[in-house]
Amino acid sequence: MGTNIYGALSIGKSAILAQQAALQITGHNIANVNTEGYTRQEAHLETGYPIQSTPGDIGTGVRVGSIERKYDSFLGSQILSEAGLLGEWNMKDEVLSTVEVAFNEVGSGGLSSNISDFFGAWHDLASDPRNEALRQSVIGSGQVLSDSFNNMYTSLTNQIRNVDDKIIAVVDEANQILDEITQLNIAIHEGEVNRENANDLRDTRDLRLKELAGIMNVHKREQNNNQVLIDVAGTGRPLVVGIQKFSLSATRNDLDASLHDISWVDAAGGTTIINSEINAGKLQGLLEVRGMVEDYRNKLNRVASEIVRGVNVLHQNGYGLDSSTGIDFFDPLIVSTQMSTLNTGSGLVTTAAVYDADDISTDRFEMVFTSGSTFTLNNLTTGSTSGSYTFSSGASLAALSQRGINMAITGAPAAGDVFRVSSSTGISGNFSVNSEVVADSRRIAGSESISQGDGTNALKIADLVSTNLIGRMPGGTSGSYTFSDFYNGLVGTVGNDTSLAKENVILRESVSLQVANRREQVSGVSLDEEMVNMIKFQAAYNGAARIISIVDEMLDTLLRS
Amino acid sequence: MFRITNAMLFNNNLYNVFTNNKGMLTAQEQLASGKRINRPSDDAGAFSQALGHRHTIRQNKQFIRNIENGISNLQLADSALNSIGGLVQDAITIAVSQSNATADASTRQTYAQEIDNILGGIIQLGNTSKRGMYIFAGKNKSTQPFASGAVYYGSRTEAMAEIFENVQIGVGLDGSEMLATDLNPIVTTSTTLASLNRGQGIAQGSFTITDRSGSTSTVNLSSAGTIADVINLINGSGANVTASVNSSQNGIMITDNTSPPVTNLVISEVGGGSTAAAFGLLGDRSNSTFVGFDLNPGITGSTALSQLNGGAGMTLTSLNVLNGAASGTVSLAGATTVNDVLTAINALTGLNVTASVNASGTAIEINSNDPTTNAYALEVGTGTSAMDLGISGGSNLIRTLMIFRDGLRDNDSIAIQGSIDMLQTGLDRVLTFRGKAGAKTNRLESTLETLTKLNDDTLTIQSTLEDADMVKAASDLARFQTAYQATLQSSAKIMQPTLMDFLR
Repeated sequence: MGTNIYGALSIGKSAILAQQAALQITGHNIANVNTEGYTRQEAHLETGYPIQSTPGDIGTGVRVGSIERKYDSFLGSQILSEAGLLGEWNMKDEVLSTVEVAFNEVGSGGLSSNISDFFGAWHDLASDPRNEALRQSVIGSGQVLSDSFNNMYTSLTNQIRNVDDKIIAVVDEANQILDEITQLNIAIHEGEVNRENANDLRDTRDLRLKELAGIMNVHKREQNNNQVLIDVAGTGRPLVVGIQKFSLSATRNDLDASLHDISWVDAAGGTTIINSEINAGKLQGLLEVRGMVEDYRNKLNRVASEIVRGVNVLHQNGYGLDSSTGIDFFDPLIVSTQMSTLNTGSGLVTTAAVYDADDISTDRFEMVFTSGSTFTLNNLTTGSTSGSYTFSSGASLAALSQRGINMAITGAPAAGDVFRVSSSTGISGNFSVNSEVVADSRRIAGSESISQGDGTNALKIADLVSTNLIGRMPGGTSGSYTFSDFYNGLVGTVGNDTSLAKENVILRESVSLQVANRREQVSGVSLDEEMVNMIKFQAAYNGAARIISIVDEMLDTLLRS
Repeated sequence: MFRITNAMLFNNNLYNVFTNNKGMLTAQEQLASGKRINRPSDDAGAFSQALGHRHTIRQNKQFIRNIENGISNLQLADSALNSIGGLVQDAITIAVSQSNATADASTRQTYAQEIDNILGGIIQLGNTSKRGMYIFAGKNKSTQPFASGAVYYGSRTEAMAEIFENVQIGVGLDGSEMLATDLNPIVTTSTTLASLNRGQGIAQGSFTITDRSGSTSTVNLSSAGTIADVINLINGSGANVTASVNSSQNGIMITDNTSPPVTNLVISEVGGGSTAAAFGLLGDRSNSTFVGFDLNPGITGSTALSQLNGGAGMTLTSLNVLNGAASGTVSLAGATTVNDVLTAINALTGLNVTASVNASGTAIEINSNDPTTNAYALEVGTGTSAMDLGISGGSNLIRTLMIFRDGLRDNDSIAIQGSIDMLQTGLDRVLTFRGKAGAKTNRLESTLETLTKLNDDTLTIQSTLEDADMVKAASDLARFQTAYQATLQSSAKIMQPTLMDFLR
């Protein structure tokens, strides 16, 4: 005896409940059609456990076996890597598109034309050195040139500062996401320990993970306990281990306190700089683009410093209308130094000055101590090593005096200590016509002697514009590029970098769309499909209700008889 | 089954709308600005190239301005030389007429006045200037090149102008090549201080040298007789510096040996003097060398012939010296110093002449010891020694006219006769000089033409690089517009209906 009338009623009830649950899921899907990161869910219906009887098993209806999250785990890693690339190029594009505005000169203005105009004014002066209008024009075009250098320097420096501020903000954002993922790990673990599906929480965790991947290169591994392990992709440095969270921190750069490095904070609170481990995402984009803009600024400084040096050398040796001589036309180069905060020795820079204004190198140098008494000199401008030297405390270093810089370090530096020195750092920002010359135009040294009509020195200065001064080695007179060639090349580099970033953003957006579409194919909500399901479940619900109503009639018949 | 979801439709649609919008924006920007490149990233290579072209155009415009200025100088020179030639021609006519037997002391006296006027006219023309800049004074354009006397006060170096990249041409001419020789010796250690500044001497007071270690020493030149003395006094002053003759060999220079330097190299006068300034050494330098300027030494007896003409030297042959009825030929081939030349000429017997260095130390002159006769020299064969030494003839037009004038005054028919020859070589010299200036004008004009053409071509290239292809931009705009409309229409059709529209 296997059936009874209540069995049929219970089947009806199970069907009503199951179809209702399925309808609810359909409703949830429809409700979340526009929710970012939402993964479509599907009710898996299965038959109830049958009652064994003769002649055969009799079914007990239906139940919701599981609520499945329609998810293609293979796509997960691709989504993460695409998010990283898109984040990286978006940052570069955003910054470079602003930077290139400073280098734009479609009209008649711009640094390139200011350089030509400045040296043109000296040509004019050479023909008529006593002409006051021409002398004023030399000063005026020099001031326009300085304004251009100053403006570009300010604009590039602001851009570097903005990028650095953004690095700090993005590190904060990453920490917040790491925190949320850790919280979600806890919630999902607790939710699923009873074999319940924490589908929506998983959606949120995936979404956070994608956001994190947009910030930096991360690798995700799911553990048996449904928690995820997150580490820095490539190096395996842990970021989230189950419910333990590590954080990142923006720490001041050891050489340039205005810039920040990205550091990893260990459990004890110690920091390790991980700039080199980051190779994707917004952070990578920001670090790289900051380096690019710094490079542009260094190149701009190269042009400015060689103009200052070249013009001043000739101007000092020339004579003004008032027989003045030895006067700089532009404010002279200043030697500046940087010392790493990570230095362990007691070495301190006590002297940093111009040794030979004629022959000073405008390259940037870095001294890396290999022991307490030796150091390697690296030329940061050319990227080459200039050799090893012995160090003696307090004495002017021959390695630098050969390059026109008088530098002395006292105390005892230790191996690994780093010092930097340069005569061109910040020069574009300090570029200015000497106030002595501005105050009295007679001091412009157009002559080689006290003969007022002699314009030879003006001609020599004018001729600098077609002299290859950039890339000059100390002791040599000629380098590889003229001011204009080098600057035009710099504009080309900026343009190329910007256009590369723009093209990559377009490419990455299109690939991201494809990956998103592939995810949509599996995980996305189709309203049409949900409508069909709704009809399907509604019809089944109606059928089940019918069964109950039939059983009700049957009971009625039975009770009445 | 390939599922298409609503989000896919929306995302694809947005992507396509944005792509079309961007295309329209680009095409519209090109149409509005007329430029294909509106920022460096639009075409970095072309943008950078265009900047280069723009620089070239601007530089060429500068060269064109330099050339126009040079041409106006040379045209002025040409007209001055034309007048000088005419005046010399007049002088020759007078010389020919006054060398005839019909001329007498009184006509010659009259014409002496005329020649004096011509001489004044030529000096005035030699001082031709443009906006206060003398065109026959070499690079020292503000220095009046000629005063009374056969002395050139300008520079033997021409005033240059750049007419093409790294091509310079002299547009301020060296008047000594035409009117008055300037032997322009170099400065050596044996050069006497008295001979400096064309024999005017130089201030010999005291000045102080503060070397780059900051230690100050005083140098007193009152006892110095030669440049070697000056150098020794500076080197022995205690300052850590080395003095030497500068690389142009026209002055001295001081090199600081301090290492490492802590201050500028400063040279100052002592007690309101002007000694340092006179040597071009007054002031301060932030580098280790202080180069003094041209001290304009005059020649003295001990000046070696190889030191003349800025160190280029000269090769002498023979001279024919005349004075009244007497004449004699002297060979100067073996002479090595100015004294050798003077001694050889003075040794000529029966001529009664004295050869000496002129007061400015710029040339050698031969004067008659007899007030009624006038001494002069003529070339022997194709030699140019008389002209080269500045005695007479050729480029010594002023001196020649003075001899001619004095010959007329003294009724010295031999000197008048000789003047015809000398004036003729002077005229030749003027014509040669004018020819050289003319050749320069031609060169400037042809360069001007090249530059103008070059600029036109560069503009065309630049326009090809920068300017938008309007037809292409317009058709691009239309293309993207069509695509944009199609996208909007199709999405309206695809997105609007859902199954819900059909379930009632």
